[in-house]
Amino acid sequence: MSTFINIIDVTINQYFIYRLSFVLWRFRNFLNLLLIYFLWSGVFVGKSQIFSYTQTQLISYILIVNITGAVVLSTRTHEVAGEILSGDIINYLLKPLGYSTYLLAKELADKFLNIIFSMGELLILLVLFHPTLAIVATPQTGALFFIFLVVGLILSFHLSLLLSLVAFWTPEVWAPRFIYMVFVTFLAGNFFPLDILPKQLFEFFMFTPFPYLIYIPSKILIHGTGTNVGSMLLIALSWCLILHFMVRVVWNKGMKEFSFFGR
Amino acid sequence: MKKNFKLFWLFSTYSIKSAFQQRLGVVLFTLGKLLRFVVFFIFVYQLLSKTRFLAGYNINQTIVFYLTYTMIDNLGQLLFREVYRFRPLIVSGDFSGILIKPYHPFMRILIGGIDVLDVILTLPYTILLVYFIQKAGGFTFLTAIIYIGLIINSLVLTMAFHILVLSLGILTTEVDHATLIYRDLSRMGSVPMDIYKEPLRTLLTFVIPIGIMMSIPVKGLFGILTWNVFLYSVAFCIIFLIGSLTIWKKALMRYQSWGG
Repeated sequence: MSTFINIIDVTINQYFIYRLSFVLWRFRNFLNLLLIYFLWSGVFVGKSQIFSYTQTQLISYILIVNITGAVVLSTRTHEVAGEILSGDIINYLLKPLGYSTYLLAKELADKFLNIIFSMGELLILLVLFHPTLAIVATPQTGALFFIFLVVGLILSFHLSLLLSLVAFWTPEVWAPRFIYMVFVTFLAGNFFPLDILPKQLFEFFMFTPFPYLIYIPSKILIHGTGTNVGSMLLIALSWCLILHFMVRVVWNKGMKEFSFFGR
Repeated sequence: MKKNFKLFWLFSTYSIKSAFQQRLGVVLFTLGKLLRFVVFFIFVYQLLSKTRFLAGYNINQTIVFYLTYTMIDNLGQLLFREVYRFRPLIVSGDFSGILIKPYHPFMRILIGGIDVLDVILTLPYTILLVYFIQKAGGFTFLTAIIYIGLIINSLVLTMAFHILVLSLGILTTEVDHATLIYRDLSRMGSVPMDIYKEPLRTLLTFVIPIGIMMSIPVKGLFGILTWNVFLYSVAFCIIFLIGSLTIWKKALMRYQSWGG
């Protein structure tokens, strides 16, 4: 356990060594948040409701997405690809500590810092522009939000790791990740709540893992618990299992084929 | 001038050849860029088909704002991509090898590596832009000339910004985040500046100056630009370029190489 905590500690300290990089990264997130916030505020001028959302609900959604996104999408798993390509992964595999434990500790440190900073950004926005928030604050929604948040986090971790494991076979690791990020930006509900899309398209996307990353947890806090929560949870958990299985298969196959020299 | 053009052509050819060494990467990145553009385009279109107006602009006008931003951003990426690869040259000391060459270092470090992906995407962007400008209407021959002039003005500003980033690269080696912050800031210009509240709007329009780069050309096209703002945009661009070149010269004096 102490090793686990030490890795978290070292990871946080690493961030503080390169603190300018981290602050600039969060600043970039804040700029994107501003763009989306003002875009939606501008759309509502002279209108009380668009699609099925009031202005308060939509702005709340956008702000909650900022926090949910920081929890779910922040990850260090993209570094795995670099470690495979450079051969550095061998150093970790030789250590008396599971690589997955090592990754998990780094993930926790990363998420901890991103949550703190995204809360700060949200606070700045609240102080500057005084938007009214509409959140369904009941124990049920709180519990469901938390459950879907954890599910989203597991999904995001596996998806990102799976993309990094491609490095076992090809150095072309950034292009697939770029496409993945495009999908995440739009299909996870980063820019807009997915239910504003045409019904058939929305229903199709609900069978993919993307809406369960950000959209569903954030939506639950705005609109409360719906009648189809059970089926959504079932789909999300199925994706967790499928992706976990895929990561295991790809990792084992990659490990068998992996070779490196000169270390 | 002829010699510089020949060099530009040579570097560009090398850059394209080297990009096509990783064909799969080129295809996937182009697909990704196209996908990002199409999805955001559909989002804006879908949104405005419901709401009709954004900050007083109709759907076609708003799309012209978005496409103008896309075009300027794309041309900036196309021409100045080499700036993203400047840091390793400084860290390794290889920049000295470029300084001793009988041509201006900007030929190599500023415009010496055009991005083939953006070359591919320029055509569809241009076709869409022309189509939506025609659909939006409300322009004259004079305003169209002003629009093209202000887009050139924006590209000069983009160049000045990239020169500033190069200077920063020598002084601090911090290039990556500076360019990415520039890109995020410029993305705020993908929608009309009028959606932002004061004082953020003035700050973004005249100080940073995303508005001058992205929004003001479109306002010029639709004939809603005052001459004061037009002149300010041009003057700002000239001053910013002179400032960037001055900082570059100062940064260059502080450059130190090492090794053999």
